[in-house]
Amino acid sequence: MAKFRSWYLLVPAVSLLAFIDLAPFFYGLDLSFQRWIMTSPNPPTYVGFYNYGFLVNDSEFLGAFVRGVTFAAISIACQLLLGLGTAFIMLRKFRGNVAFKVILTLPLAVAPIAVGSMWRIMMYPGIGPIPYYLKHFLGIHWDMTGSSAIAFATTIMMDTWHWLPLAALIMLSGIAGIPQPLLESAAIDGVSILQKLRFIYLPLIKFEIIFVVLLRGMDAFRIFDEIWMLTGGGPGNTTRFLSVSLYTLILRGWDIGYGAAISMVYVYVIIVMCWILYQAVMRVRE
Amino acid sequence: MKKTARSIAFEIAFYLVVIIMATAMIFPFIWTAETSLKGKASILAGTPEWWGFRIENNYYRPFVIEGYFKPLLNSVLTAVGCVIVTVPLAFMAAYAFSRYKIFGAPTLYFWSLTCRMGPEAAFIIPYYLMITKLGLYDTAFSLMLVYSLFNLPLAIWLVKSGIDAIPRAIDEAALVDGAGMSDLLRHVIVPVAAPSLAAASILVFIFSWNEYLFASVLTALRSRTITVGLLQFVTTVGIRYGEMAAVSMVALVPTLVTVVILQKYIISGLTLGAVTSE
Repeated sequence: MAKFRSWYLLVPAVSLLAFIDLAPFFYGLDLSFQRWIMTSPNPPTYVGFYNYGFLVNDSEFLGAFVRGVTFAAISIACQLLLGLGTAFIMLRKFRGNVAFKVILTLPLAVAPIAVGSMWRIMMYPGIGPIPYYLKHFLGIHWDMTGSSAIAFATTIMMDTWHWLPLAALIMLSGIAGIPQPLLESAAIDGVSILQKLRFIYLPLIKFEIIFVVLLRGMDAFRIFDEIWMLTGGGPGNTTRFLSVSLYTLILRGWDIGYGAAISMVYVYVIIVMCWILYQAVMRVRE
Repeated sequence: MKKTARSIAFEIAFYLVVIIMATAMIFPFIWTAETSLKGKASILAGTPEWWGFRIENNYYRPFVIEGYFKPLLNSVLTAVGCVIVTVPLAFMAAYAFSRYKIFGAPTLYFWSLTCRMGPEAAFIIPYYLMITKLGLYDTAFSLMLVYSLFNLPLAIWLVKSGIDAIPRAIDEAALVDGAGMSDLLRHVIVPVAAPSLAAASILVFIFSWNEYLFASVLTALRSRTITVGLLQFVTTVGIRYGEMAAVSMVALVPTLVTVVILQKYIISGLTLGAVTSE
């Protein structure tokens, strides 16, 4: 009886998720085998792996993929290092630490699209204060509409501003869980700070580090709103990461079949990353 | 003596780092808030003006004249609708996950993880076609449905950690007293699990409020949300930065306020309950 009821309670949630996740997935899979351009009068036809074959040689897709991975790797590295430092700052009970923590959590709730607009207002040449001060005090010409490197750097700064707090708070929860006697005995033995970091902190917060890498990795790899608002993918295609590239492709050409093929590859990559995260979570939970 | 001098230097450096970080974190908010009150001349002045600029009400034109009030209402409607659709379903599922050994529970957990983390951009083609075929294009209801893709997993795992903390003895006592399953859930579990239900509702509200991509593809004039409205300041010719800042402020303040109140939950919400803030 209990077994029947437990199953019964799950039905609504699982069927909604099936409708909203599995149905589009299989629909998308089906579409990816078709040649269908919505703006053309030709009806959709099945073409087998044509779209996937095209994808392997498409420099725009491969470029967007590589740009996305580069963006994710650099921004994760920034967030891990700065986040670890911030976690140690928060570990100390200093005057104003509560206020510091509140300030730090502010960016987490902001709508990604508003993050983009805030950074646009702040960074746009001729309007934002940051390019002005960089030019004025350091002589750096910070023009995110002109230089690809600067546009790329700006997106990384924005992402780090947005998600550094999350990385810091996750790692803080790990550090706070380290048993106190261990740290005390290390202090008695006269272990240096670097050794403490290498042999105590890093191994004991391994789970939190892996978790940050994968969680932020997936988020950074699927980033869209902030980038679309800040740069629109430009200048040229410098910041056209995979989501932006896919969106542009659909908006411009309504090439449904090819878009669906890209989507499938995209989902597959994320599923693999999810699987690694899931394994990490389960191993630690046990 | 030498040691105290060093520790004082350390203290100063420490607070310097703290102040720099806090400033960097809060600066974009302050600048956007200021820009939302600046006249066009001050925004385009070339040198950043911090004070003494001519104050202009950039909120008036978008929200009163240009009808940005409606997207704002749509955002509220959509987000509240998402809470109503998601939280009861999540509560039932969370109870089942918490109390029974369910066949395939790890698979279901993994599945919901992929839903939460899946690239939204990859779903827009099938969603657009499905929603159009169902005749739900440009309705708030379509957004309530598709937002459960990320809302439902979030709510299930948040509420589950709340129910896990309730002793099973309470359920058993109620069942022994002759309560049915629905009585047990409604009159015993809901009141005790109320804090986690409230946290889930508020986080679902925030995530629905913040969403842009699906809303931009699945809605047009009638039910576009505030995030879609915000982007329109970029696509129109000649960006009106002051008004863009004003709309940004309106779009971000509600979620900002809730996160300050709900700090404890946002971390477990963003990590699907895998990490809890101390």
